[in-house]
Amino acid sequence: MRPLRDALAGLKRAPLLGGLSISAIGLSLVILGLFGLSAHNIGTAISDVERRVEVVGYLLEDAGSARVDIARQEMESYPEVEEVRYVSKTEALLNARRDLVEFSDVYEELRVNPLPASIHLRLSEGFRSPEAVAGVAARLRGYDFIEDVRFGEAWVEQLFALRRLAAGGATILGGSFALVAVLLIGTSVRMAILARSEEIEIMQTVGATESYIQRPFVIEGLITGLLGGLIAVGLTRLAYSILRSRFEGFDSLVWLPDSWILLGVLAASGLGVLAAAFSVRRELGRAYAV
Amino acid sequence: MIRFINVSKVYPRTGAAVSDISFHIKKGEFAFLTGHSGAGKSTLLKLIHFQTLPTEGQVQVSRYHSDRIKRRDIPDLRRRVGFVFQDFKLLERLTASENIGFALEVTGTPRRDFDAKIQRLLGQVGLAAKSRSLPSELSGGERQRVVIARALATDPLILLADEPTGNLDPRAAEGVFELFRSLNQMGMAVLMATHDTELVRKNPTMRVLEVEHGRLVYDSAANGGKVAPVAVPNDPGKPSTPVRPAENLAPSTPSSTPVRPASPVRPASPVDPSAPGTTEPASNAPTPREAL
Repeated sequence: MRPLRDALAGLKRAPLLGGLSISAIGLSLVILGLFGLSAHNIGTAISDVERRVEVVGYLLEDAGSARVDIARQEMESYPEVEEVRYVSKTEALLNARRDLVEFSDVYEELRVNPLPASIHLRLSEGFRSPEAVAGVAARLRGYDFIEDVRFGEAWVEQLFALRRLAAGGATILGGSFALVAVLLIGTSVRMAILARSEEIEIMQTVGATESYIQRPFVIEGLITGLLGGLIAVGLTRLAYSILRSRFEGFDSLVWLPDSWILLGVLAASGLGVLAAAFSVRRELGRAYAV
Repeated sequence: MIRFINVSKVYPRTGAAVSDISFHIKKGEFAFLTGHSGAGKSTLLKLIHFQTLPTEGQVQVSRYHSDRIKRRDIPDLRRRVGFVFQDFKLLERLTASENIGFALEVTGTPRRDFDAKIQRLLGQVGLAAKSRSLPSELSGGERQRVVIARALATDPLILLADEPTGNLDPRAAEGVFELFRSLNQMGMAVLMATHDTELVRKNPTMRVLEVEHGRLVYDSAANGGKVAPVAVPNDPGKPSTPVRPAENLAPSTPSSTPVRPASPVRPASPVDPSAPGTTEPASNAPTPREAL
C-alpha cells in the first residue's frame, strides 16, 4: 500500500507540479484526440466515397440480352464485386434527362436513343484499391459485347492518395504528440524524484530494493497518464459538441468509436508507466554501482 | 568481513580517488579511518557500501564481492552494513520513531514488529523518551543517535560512520562515540571515518587506518604501522602500495606507534618480507557476534 500512498502523497505534496503535468499531458493528448476525431471523420467520409466506386461497362448495340444475363451472373460471382446492376438504354436516357438538366432539350428532341446500355459493378470492401479496380475493369473488357469500360482511374488514385496521406499524417503527428507526452511525464518524474531525493537516498542507504523505490513513481506515472487521458477525452468531447452545435457543416461530424477512446486512455496510462519507469530507472540507477 | 585487495577507484572527471589500497577488517573490530578532507575516506566507505565499484582490485564485504555482485543483491548487502552520515539525513517531517519506522517499512519489516523494535532501538541509543520528537526539536547529538538507531533497524553486522561527530560539540561527540563503542562491544564491526585527531588520540587502543592522497599510508594493526602488500588470491605476485608511514594523525600514546618521519611521499622502499598478508584486528576487538 505504501507505493500507492506515496504516489498519491507525491501528487498531493506538489499539487501544482502534479496538476501541471496532468494538464500538459491532457493538452497534448487533446491535440491527439482532435486529430483522431478528424482522422476518424475523414476516414468515414473516404469510406463513404469509396463505397460509390463503380466500374461501368458500356455495351455494344448488338449485345444480346441472353449473353448479357449470363455475363451478369458470372460477374456476381467475382469476389471483388458486391453488386451488379444493369442499366438499359431507356433507363440511361431517363437518368440523363434527370441528371443533366441543362441538356434536357437535346434529350427531349432525340428520335433515336444514342445512349448505350451499361453494366455497373460496385466493389466489395477491401477491393477498392486502384489495382483491384483496374483488375475488375480489365476482366470486364474481356467480354466481346463490351465496347468501353470507365471507372475514373485518376479519381480513384487521388482518393487513395488522400487516404494514405491521412494515415501517414496520423502516424507522424500521433507519434510526435506521444513523444511529447513521454517527455513531459519523464520530466515530471524527474522533478518528483528531485523533490523526494532525501527520502530516496535514505531508502537506498538502508537497503530498500530498487523496485520498491521505483514503484510509487511508476504508479504516479500511471495516475498522471490516466488522468491526462481522461482529461483529453473530456476536452475532445467538448470540442466535438461545440463544433456540432455552433458551426455549420459540422452537424454530420461522427464521435469516436468507444474502442478508440478506451485504447487512447489505455495508451496514455501505458505511456505514463513507460515514461516513468524509464525515467526513474535512469535517475535512480546512479546509486547502484553495478 | 571487509577486505580490500589492491583497490583503486578512478572517477572519470576528477581522477583517482583511491589507489592500490589493501586492508582487512575482521568481525567485531573497531577501526578509525582518518585523513584530511579529500584524502579518500568517503570513497572508501562508498566502496564498502557498494555505492561505487572499484576501477581495479576487489572489495569483499561478507560474502559479496565487487567483481561479481549483482545489482539486485546490493539492497541485501546494505541491510547488513549500516551507514551513519555526518549531516544526519533525517526526514524532518517525521518524528524520531517515524524515522526509524520508515527504515523498517522500506526494508519490508512486518508492521506488527514495528513498535517493539522502535522502542528497543530508541532505548539502545538512549532516546526512549524522545520518540515523538521531531528532528528539529532534538539536539545534534540526539539527532545523530536517531540516525544510529535507524542504521541499526536492519540488524547490520557492520556500521560505517562518515564523520559522525563532525557536526557535534565535544560533549555530544563523546556521547556518540561511546555509543559506537558499546555497539562494537556487542559484536558489531565499526569503521568510523573522522578527522577528529583528539578523538583518535584519546582511544589509543583502537585500530587506525590513515589515507592520504587516496593511498593507505598507515595501519596501526600492521607490522609497525607499515602498510604491507596484500596477497591477491590467484595472483599472489602482484605488487602493492608503497610503504610509507603517515605524517600525522597517528595515535600518539600506544607503544606500537611507529616512528613517523615528516618526509613527503617517497617511492616505495623494499617491502618488509615479514609483513603479514593481511592486517590483524585491534587487540580490543570483541568476539564476533556471528558469521555473515
